[in-house]
Amino acid sequence: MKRAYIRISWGLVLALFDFRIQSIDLLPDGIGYLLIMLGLTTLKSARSDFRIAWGATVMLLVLSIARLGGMQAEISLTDNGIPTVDSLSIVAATIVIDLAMLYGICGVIRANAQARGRIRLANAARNTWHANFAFGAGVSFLLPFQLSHLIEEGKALTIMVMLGYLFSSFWVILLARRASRELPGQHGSDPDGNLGRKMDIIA
Amino acid sequence: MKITVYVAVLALVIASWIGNIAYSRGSQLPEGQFLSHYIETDYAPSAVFDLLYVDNNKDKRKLIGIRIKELSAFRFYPIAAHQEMRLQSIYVIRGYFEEEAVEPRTTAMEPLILHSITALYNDGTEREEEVGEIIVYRNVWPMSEKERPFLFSSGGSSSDNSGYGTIRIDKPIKLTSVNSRLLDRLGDRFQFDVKLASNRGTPQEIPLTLPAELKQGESLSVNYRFMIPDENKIEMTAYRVMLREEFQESDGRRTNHVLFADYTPYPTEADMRSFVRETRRQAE
Repeated sequence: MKRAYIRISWGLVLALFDFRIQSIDLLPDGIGYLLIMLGLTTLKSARSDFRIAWGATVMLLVLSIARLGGMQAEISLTDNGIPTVDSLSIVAATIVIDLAMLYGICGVIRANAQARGRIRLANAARNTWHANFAFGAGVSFLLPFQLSHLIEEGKALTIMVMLGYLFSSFWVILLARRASRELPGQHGSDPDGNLGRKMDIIA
Repeated sequence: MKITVYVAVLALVIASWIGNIAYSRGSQLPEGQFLSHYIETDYAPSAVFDLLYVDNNKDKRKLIGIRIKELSAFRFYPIAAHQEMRLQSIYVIRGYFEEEAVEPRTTAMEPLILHSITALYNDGTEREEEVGEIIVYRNVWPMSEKERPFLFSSGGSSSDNSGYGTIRIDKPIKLTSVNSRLLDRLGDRFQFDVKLASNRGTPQEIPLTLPAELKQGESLSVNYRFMIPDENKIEMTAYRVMLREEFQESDGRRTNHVLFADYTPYPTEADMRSFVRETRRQAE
């Protein structure tokens, strides 16, 4: 299980951060999503959190491949141009899917932590998701204002909330690292939230 | 987190998208169009005038030229950006008359009044477009070489839509009138005064009552001002007023001096949004 969380955390690092030389991303998102999928596979579970995380990661992997193929899935918040509805929609959809993946990862960690009586870790997973959701929803709400400029300082506000979203995503990496330390177990351990209770009954 | 929170947030996000997309679409011109103009010009090689064309930045069809079938000598300089805005841009097409193509006129002809021009687009199409009103004076051309009884002294205009022109009188003449065909249309929104600028002693300007006799060495100054915009609402109409100062020399010969007074709109984003809304409303 430790290795699974380490894979997820490294996968998130690769997926969330871009270091580009000219247009070449030295931390390819696709490899990041593959690592997350590998980590999630190790944590295989019947929980809905797991299925959501898995499905969202597969979709993000497909989107990252489509981007390599030339799909425009980025907008600049610092230039004066106005994005098209299409490009803005793709960015918003990516954020929603990204949120779904983080929801699943936080949910899996929380369930495993609860199962092993790691209440503080479970609470941290819940709080991290809340922060992710708040900033992700904020970004999704503010993005379309790039089309209308109805809010005078909309661009600056969107950049700030976007940074908040980035930091909250970074907390998920730290959360996965913490889980790798606090949730030792076998490969393929069941992260079912009720596992602890079941084990107690069996015992 | 309760499901109601997710649903509420989702509803907010969806409302934001629907509202912003609708607002954005409502703020864009359905297609490019010429602003309204009221222009006076001579049909002579020295004359120039500007036509303003407002275009949706996302529109792939772009204006590339203009033809005026009534004016065979009409040419235009390369189209230039007048004002680039977030969703729309205003382009200026500066027209002039090619000297070789203007046919000489020994007698003055009735002015031409044009309301539309032929616009040429980059997709190969052309279309008759309304431009407002262009009054083209067809006076005698070329003008006689006889020396004029006055000399241009100075002139200028300001961003507050005001300007002036001063001429120095070289021999005694009578100023009979200062007028323009557009004065009635503009009404109170265009004001001008005619003053005699004294060069002797302390400089001072003396208002003139027409007709007025002018002496050699005096300076005649005409100051104008467009009282636009009214009530904080910009007028998306361009004006070029030819203020014609009519003189009569001692031998009865008539001559004139023209002062051009221009009003060119520089709308803010809010002004442009109002203009687009009004245009879309009228199109419905």
